[in-house]
Amino acid sequence: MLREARHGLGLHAALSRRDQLRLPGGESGVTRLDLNEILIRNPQAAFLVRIAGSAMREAGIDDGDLALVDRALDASHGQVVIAIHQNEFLCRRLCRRDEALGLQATDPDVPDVWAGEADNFDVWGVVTHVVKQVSG
Amino acid sequence: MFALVDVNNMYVSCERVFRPALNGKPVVVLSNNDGACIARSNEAKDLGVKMAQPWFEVKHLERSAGLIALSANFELYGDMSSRMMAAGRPLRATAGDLQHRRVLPGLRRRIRGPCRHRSRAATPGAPMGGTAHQRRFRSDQTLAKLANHVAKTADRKPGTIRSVWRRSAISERWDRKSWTT
Repeated sequence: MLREARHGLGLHAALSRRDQLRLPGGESGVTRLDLNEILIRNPQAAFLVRIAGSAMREAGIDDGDLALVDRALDASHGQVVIAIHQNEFLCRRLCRRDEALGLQATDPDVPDVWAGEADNFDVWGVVTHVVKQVSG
Repeated sequence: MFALVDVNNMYVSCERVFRPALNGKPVVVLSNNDGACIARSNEAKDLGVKMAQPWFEVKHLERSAGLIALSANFELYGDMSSRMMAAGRPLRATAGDLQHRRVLPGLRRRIRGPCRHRSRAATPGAPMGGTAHQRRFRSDQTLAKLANHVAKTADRKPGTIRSVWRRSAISERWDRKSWTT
């Protein structure tokens, strides 16, 4: 389900010092938009994972997309999570029915997974954003 | 007052974050060129694999006991280490980073008691990037190191701080290396 994990988006946040000196009023410091700042709330717990498969297409997460995962958040019912089930990573919607925890795909052909006592089941992190390549 | 936050079997823990199938299995991480075991999971320690033991000496355990050996991925460990250091930093008044896997925040005051008890595996949501780690609070760096040693080995070698201090080798107290960098 999950082919690779990458972390640390590095975008240049600001002009170099020399550029600032050249600009009139350069001291004011022009700051460019920083995706890290915009998207990541807990930098120490943020991971990018590459999605494989289209089980979550209706939730906007498709094959080849990058999902931004926050491991510091507590997952709750209805959230899209990266979970571990029987030692495999799964990207699914977390649901709670009575006391049982389950993982549902948006694709109706993909069977739900319900956590049994014996299963190795864990929520690895909460998916907060998805990065899609649209062209190029 | 110092708190020593130390990741258990750091390199193995880092690998396990991304490969949950390794949980509960005996795992070692090998040094450059797959020469020697530089990190051992508790299961591997129970098999008798020693720190820095050459791989050829324990290779037979691959077949007989299901020992899993991984080549080191230092980029990954460095990244996870920097996450842990950053997560520990807000605690501190002064901090020294020890090797890859530890942060030593010097605290202005005691946080909770002299020695808050023992092994607490990080929960999946733990902001340290999810590696299992130990935290102990003590009044100086040596005692912090020793308290940490007690925490790590408590499951396998129970004892109080005092009794472990008496029994502990100098190398455990000082970790065989200078660690005041």
